[in-house]
Amino acid sequence: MILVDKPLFTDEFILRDAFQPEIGSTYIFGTTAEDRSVFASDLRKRVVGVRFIELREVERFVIETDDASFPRVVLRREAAVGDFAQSLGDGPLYLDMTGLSHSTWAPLTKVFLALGKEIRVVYLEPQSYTRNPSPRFGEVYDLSERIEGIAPMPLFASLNDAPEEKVCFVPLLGFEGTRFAHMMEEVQPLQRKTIPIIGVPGFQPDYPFQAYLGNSGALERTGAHRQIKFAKSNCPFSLFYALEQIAAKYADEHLKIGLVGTKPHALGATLFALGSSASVELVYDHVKRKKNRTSGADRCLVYRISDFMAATSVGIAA
Amino acid sequence: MTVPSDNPTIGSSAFGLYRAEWLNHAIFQLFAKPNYYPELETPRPCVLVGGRGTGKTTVLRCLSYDGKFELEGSHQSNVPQWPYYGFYHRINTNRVTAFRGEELQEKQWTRAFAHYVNLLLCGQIFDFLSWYYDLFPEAQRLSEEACRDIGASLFLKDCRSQTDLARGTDRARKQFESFLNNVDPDHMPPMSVQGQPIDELCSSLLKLAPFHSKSFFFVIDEFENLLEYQQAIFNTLIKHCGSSYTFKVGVRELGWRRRSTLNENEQLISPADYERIDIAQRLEGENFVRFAADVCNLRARHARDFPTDIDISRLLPNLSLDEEAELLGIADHLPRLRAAARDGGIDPKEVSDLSPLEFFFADYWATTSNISLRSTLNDRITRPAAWNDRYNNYKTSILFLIRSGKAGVRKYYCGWRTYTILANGNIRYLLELIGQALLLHQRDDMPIGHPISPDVQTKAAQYVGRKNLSELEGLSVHGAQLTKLLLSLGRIFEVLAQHPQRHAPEINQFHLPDDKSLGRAEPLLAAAVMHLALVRSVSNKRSMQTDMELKSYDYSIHPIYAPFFTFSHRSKRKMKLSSQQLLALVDEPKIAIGQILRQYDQREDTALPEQLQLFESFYK
Repeated sequence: MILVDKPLFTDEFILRDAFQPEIGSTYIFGTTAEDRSVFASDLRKRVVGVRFIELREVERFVIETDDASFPRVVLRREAAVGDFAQSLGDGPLYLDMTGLSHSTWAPLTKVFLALGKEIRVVYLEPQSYTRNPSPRFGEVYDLSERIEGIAPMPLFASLNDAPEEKVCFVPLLGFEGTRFAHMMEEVQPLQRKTIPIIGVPGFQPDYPFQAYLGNSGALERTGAHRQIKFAKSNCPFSLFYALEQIAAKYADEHLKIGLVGTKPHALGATLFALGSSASVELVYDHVKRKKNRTSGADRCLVYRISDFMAATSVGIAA
Repeated sequence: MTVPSDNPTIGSSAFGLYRAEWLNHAIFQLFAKPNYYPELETPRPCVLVGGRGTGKTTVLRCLSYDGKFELEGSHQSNVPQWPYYGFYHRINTNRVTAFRGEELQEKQWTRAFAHYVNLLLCGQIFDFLSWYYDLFPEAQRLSEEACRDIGASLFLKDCRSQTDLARGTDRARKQFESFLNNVDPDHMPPMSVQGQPIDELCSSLLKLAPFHSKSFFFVIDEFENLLEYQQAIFNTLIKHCGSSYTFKVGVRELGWRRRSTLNENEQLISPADYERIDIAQRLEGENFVRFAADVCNLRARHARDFPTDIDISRLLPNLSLDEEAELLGIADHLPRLRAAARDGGIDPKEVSDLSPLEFFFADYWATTSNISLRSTLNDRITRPAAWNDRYNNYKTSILFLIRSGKAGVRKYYCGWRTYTILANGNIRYLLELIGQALLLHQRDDMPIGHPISPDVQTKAAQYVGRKNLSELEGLSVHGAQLTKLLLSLGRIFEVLAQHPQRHAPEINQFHLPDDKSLGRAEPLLAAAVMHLALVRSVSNKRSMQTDMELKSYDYSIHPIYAPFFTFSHRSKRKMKLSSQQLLALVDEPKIAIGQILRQYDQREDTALPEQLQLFESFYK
């Protein structure tokens, strides 16, 4: 089945203010120094009938909330995240991933879905990424301070030591080739067992080219450039389908998915790890993002992921 | 079997696949035994220390049962004759970093990780048994009673057979994964005692006929990926592993951060507790040259379309210093030198026995010592021994002056010996150098088998240096700092090489004060050595016999980067740096480079060589 025949569950708001969370819902968000993260605070001011909960990432894998009944949640404890999720009531949940790190939104998504919550993930595209003032070849953008190193995200630890010849590495590429190179160094896939995915179409028309350029060194060194696949960069569902195809081709293999690229792609990979029958492991390098890595805010996207997962489980997306 | 290749330039691809994981099964066909291999096959713990690309993984994989099987041509009848069976495991960062966090105290993490190690190592033995009994279905198996005992030690229920044990271990691993995803100090699952199930399983197996008087090797690669407390757990197993099994560990230099067992007062000491095999030491000098020739010739033989009976070293001709001077264009300096001699009243016959390079040096020495050429030449005749010493000391360094400030090659890096020095015991680097040289050679439409020109060899060496520099950033969490450190130090040594006046020749090492704490520079240096940005060597003459005593070190940029920056690849003289200066080279490179160069009467604003112009914004 080609992508055009697949159901997508995205509501796209070109005029951001047109987005209105449902009355009776809960809106969970975090803030950063990026322009686009103001969106959630503004929404809080202009919308009534919606419960807003702000999360602050205070220490590694621990969040504080402005909900007095759950001031602190340890994300590596599924039961604790579950208690927090149950306290949010039965209404729809909006999880705004724009100002939250992967280590926060991914475990929340896992638990919310497991508890059968109606969950919609909100994401604001940036208008542009900060350019590198003194770029070396391929290093056009200046996005990250450092990486803290590869470690499992909360609730995604895996002890599945598949034999090396049964491992297929699927890095979701962004602009930062060094992060991809670092993952390659850690994962050490066998030759011809790396299938990178680049976001096409990108947020902007030139982004796919920049992504290729940024990763070209490691891609060419490893020969992985011959196997690149594409998935729309702001669509987790397109990524999910791309992963399905890869998993079908590499049946019985253990997929290691490297999260370097866009957040919507990381969300798609997370959904795939949760919903697919394939053996899947997420690989993340816990990048410390620069404060002003983006400027402006563009489209607002709302992903109805619980609907998608329900549809997937009854075979609509199969 | 030929080397797998996607590359149409066949000859170079045999050398281009220089990583164990890229070769896949060809790794065993292309394996050349290094001189230390027999030590690894003895039934005692061994720690193989070596940087990235020194061939650790290849060697360790060849110790594993499946590696050995392929290595010996998959002859089933050999298997029962083997004196040992090895189980290879690479430490996976994404696994071991799951065992840390504020949720549990270190003692609890220690118990949890020890249990995981039990499951992991027993699981490996079960995988081996499954392979072994597929080959020999009639071979004697563990009794029901033994299976029950082993199962009980892992808290596995109802294990009556080896199959039950294997399935139970796999199930237990999955349950343990659930625990890691819901870490709760008040609800810890039952955990096995460190090492006990492994002891139980190995000693039971050794009583069976197929394994009687055999050894079991746990081959643990990338030991540096373990957290410190996890290293202590493995150290404990290594120290107390007894006679049923042993460990073969692969680790990068400085990657073994904790030497104690779980008892902090108990250290692992070589040679009492284990055999330390330092690849850089074992493959030093001629040993590496011989090993490298074996590896390269084996690869050449397995490559399609590569001429047979070619000795790889003959493809890489060397240049003498005089030949190199000629190629660099020393003839262009001769009119000036002859005019200077004439002006100094020197008869042309007096300089007729001087080679162009020696003539060039005599003029250089006269100018920099502020004496006349006449006196210099007199000195050469009256004190020939002193003169020859001086000339030999400066001979290499003045080569850099011949084309100083000009575009193009300023120093040649060619010859089989030179390539082995650039690789510095690192077989991956050597394969990269040769692969790239062959590629450029073929691009010039030159047939494989013809000697590769010094120009092509040099350009290949520069390319490999630049490539590894660009890869450095992705190698570790310190990658960005290491790149900056290398760019800064490389520039300093490059400027000193281009301007040898007023300082000792061939300065390309540094030394830090022994009597002061290195502070923040210590982890930077450790990462630089571990990832081969820098090479360290023991500097104090009172070198110690064991690896536990304090040593003092000199540091140099890994010679693989010398052609890219253009400084001497030979380990020669050193400068003194403080730890603050070292950190400043990373934090404020422009200021620090200038400050250090001024100590040697040099300026930081000298023109960048062509290949460094890519990094202009870093320097200016």
